[in-house]
Amino acid sequence: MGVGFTTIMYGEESLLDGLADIGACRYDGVETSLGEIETVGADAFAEQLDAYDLDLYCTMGEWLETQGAADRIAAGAETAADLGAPYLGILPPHRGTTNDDDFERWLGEVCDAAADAGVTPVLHHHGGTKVEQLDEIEEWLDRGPDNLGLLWDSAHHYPYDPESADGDVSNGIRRFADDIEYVHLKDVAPGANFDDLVDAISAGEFKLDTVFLYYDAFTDLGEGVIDFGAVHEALDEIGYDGHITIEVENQNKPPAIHAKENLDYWWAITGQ
Amino acid sequence: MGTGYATIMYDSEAVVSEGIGDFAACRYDGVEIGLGKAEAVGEAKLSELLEEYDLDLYCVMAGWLNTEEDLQAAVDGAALAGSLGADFLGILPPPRGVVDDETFADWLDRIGAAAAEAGVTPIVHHHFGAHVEQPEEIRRWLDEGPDNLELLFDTAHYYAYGDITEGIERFADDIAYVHLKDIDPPAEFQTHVENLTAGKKDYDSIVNYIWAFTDLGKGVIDFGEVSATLDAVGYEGHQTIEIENQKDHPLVHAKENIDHLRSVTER
Repeated sequence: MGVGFTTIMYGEESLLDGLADIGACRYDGVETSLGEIETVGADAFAEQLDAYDLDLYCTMGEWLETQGAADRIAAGAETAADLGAPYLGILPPHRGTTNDDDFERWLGEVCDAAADAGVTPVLHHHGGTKVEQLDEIEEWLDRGPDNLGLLWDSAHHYPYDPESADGDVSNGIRRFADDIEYVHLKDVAPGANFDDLVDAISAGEFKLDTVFLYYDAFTDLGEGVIDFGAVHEALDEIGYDGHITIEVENQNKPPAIHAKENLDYWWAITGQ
Repeated sequence: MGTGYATIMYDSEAVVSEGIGDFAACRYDGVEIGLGKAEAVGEAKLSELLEEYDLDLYCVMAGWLNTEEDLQAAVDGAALAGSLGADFLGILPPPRGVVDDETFADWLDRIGAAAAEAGVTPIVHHHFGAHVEQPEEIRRWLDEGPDNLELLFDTAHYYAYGDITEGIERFADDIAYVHLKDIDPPAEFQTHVENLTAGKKDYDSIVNYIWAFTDLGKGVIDFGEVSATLDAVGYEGHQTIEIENQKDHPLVHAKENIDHLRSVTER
């Protein structure tokens, strides 16, 4: 089991600098999007991983809501395998954009490509998408191919589980224990009208400010309401021994500080 | 002409406890506030603070027009804007694809009528991903909207759709109020622009577009040129610096932005 950090804050322009930051903070691994790897070049990316002794845990595909996206993600399975990533991440379609049959077919195509490449496809349940609510997670894990696993995300679980209202999201870990292949850690600091934002996003309402304010609630570990001590205990309890990646997208200080402070917070909990 | 600052980084409680004092400390002349915050603070308290800190209220910005309920809030908000002595009632158009043209025209008329009755000028805020986004759409809705409708010209929201200098010149006769905001477009910015213009539901595009907005001097817009162009077309109205992405203490943003503006202009 290793701890990784996503390169979300770095983008294509500074992706290689980001790997240097993440390595300097003594993370074990990283998660990066297929698009970013393609832009900087797989060879340059691999060299930088090697230079900073980092593993690539997951390559994340784009939103799976067109045939073109399915083709690109499927093709990315080979990239993931070549770079040694165990997981190929799948972001479900935004709510209201894609019918069940198309999604099921595209899931099949991506999972087949992942199997051929020797990587595990992981479904990222996500607010505002077709795989958001707890029963939707269960439904699509059942409908998807047998090799499809779950990328369980603390912050994307919190709004949709009444038992998590106090910040203890461990119910989600226990409920999906048999399917969790990979974990994202992220905190949530819900504002006064967060529940309204969640409802609007779930209803598929396309409101510019709603989307931004919803995303704005995601924050660094320890800055929100999620009890990461309980997360750690629950992962231990179910015997989880996969990788954990801290995913923080909202930047309000230099990215290296976010990287360092989040790992320090997690280590303070885990004793590592 | 005065320079104002928007209260976006401050919630309603912080507007009272810090925001208005911060703006005065930075020697701004005026303030823009969202209608919801103005209502939460209350007319009496907000008036008292503006008076105490010698700040003018330039604009009360109504919320996004998504529904009939939002429309009614904007219509009702005109009276509060008038009572507070604001010059303008800001209109945020519906996101693309939410209402048809006929409905939007009706909503503009009803807000325009309420604003006229309240003694404030309704101004439409052209905005990415909204019903009024492209230069041709700005022209159309200024022409088809009520007679008292004028334009809030926003530097960062114009950037993706045309040359800012040409935009100020083109809409010189319609600009009643100006937002100053910089933009630092990321690598895939054009894709996000096209997604949102097409009305595509893409959360990444919304978030990445908003994240591209930044403090004056940290993006690609030349605010010396903006100021010179406004002078050249004879603009004499107010300008408000609107910064939403907080990377530092809000007071630091307020101070550094007006410092940058002063460093590149004669104002």
